[in-house]
Amino acid sequence: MRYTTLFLAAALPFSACKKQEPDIQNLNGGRIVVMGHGGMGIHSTYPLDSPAGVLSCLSSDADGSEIDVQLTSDSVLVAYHSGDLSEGTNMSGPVWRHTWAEIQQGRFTGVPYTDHHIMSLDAFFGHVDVHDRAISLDIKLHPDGTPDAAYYGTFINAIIRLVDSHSFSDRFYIESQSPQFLSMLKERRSDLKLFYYPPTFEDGLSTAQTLGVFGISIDMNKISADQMASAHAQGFWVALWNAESNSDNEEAIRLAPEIIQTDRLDHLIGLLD
Amino acid sequence: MILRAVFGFILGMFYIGLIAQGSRQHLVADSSSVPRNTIYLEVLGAGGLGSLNYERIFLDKSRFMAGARIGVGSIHFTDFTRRFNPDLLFPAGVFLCYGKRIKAELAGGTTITSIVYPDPEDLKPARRSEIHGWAAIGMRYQRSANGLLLRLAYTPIIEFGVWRHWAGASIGYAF
Repeated sequence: MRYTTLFLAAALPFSACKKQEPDIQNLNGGRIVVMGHGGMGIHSTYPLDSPAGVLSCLSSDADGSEIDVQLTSDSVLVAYHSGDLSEGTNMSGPVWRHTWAEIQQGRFTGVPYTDHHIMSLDAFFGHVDVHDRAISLDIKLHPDGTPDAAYYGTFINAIIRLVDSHSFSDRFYIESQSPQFLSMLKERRSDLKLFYYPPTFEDGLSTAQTLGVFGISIDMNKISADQMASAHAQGFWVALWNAESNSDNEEAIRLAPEIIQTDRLDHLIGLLD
Repeated sequence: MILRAVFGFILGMFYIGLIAQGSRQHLVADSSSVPRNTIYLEVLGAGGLGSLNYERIFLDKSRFMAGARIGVGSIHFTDFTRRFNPDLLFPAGVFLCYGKRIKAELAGGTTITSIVYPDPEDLKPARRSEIHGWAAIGMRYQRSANGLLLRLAYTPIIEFGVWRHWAGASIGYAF
């Protein structure tokens, strides 16, 4: 009896550590698409959206990567997150004020002694086979937010050139905060899976209905389980982002989205393995 | 690239020479007031994110002390394809100290780096070596007997020809 008790006491921690298979009710058959935020996320020693960061993400067991996209003044799509290049690089000013040749001269200034550069999406996808990977392009438009149909048109042309030049899977997504941009893009290419990136869930749901997009991409702190169910009931996929910590990953899984873009990639992969 | 490697090799030999010179003096006459050897871990500092270092004192007169250090650090042990292929950083330099237990420190040197990046031609892992500079101004606590070493310093880095503010803290054992 004493030995049985001892055995049970010893076995308890192991049974407690066993992974719980989450019961996920979503529109992807209960499966969550795992993506790194800008590659390996904000905590990584690789800069966000850098070639090394995105390649490291694609070399993991993640489904794929989210990549932030901006347009240079000479219409080259580049991967960069912030509104001003002074955030994390040795350059300054918005991307759209610089040519690709100028952007190429800059470098990320994260970890000392490292020399990572901003990448052109066309060059990147020219070298990396992503035909079976999930890729989500987060379109970062004109930083002042002014709707500009001509600028949007140039951006859309560049995206269509990219999509037509490379072999992407059916898990290729495009996210934008601008309903006008999404509407213009949908008019040109109705086959693309577009996500509206709203300031609030209510705005997201109503605008997604109006635009007829594929889904909603939203900060995980701005959506409840009931709202998730409501989006699903109306047929919208939901991509969650801002999963910055391990506990955020666990909370994001509980919300049962179709996609999680995480800053703690290896942890999320481990949870869903 | 070859010139850079040759320059790095010569610098490395210079620091090792200084350390060796310290050893020779130690054999000839030992009038030191502090232990001559120290192993310490530096967080941030000249090694970037961190480094493990060995330093050797080769001059110790009154309250003045001079020596050389050499270390090794890393950023990633695996490259972006997740294979073992570590980034290597070798901070090395010389330092001057003045004081008793708590000493002011002035130092300078180079960090030779060998870091793996995606090759722009095909995005495959490619190792690149570079030489950067660093300086340090700070304080250290070091007793005259064997034991604890503590350092805190402002350690600006000159990387790719550009000045960068940086700092470091160290803990080690002197013997």
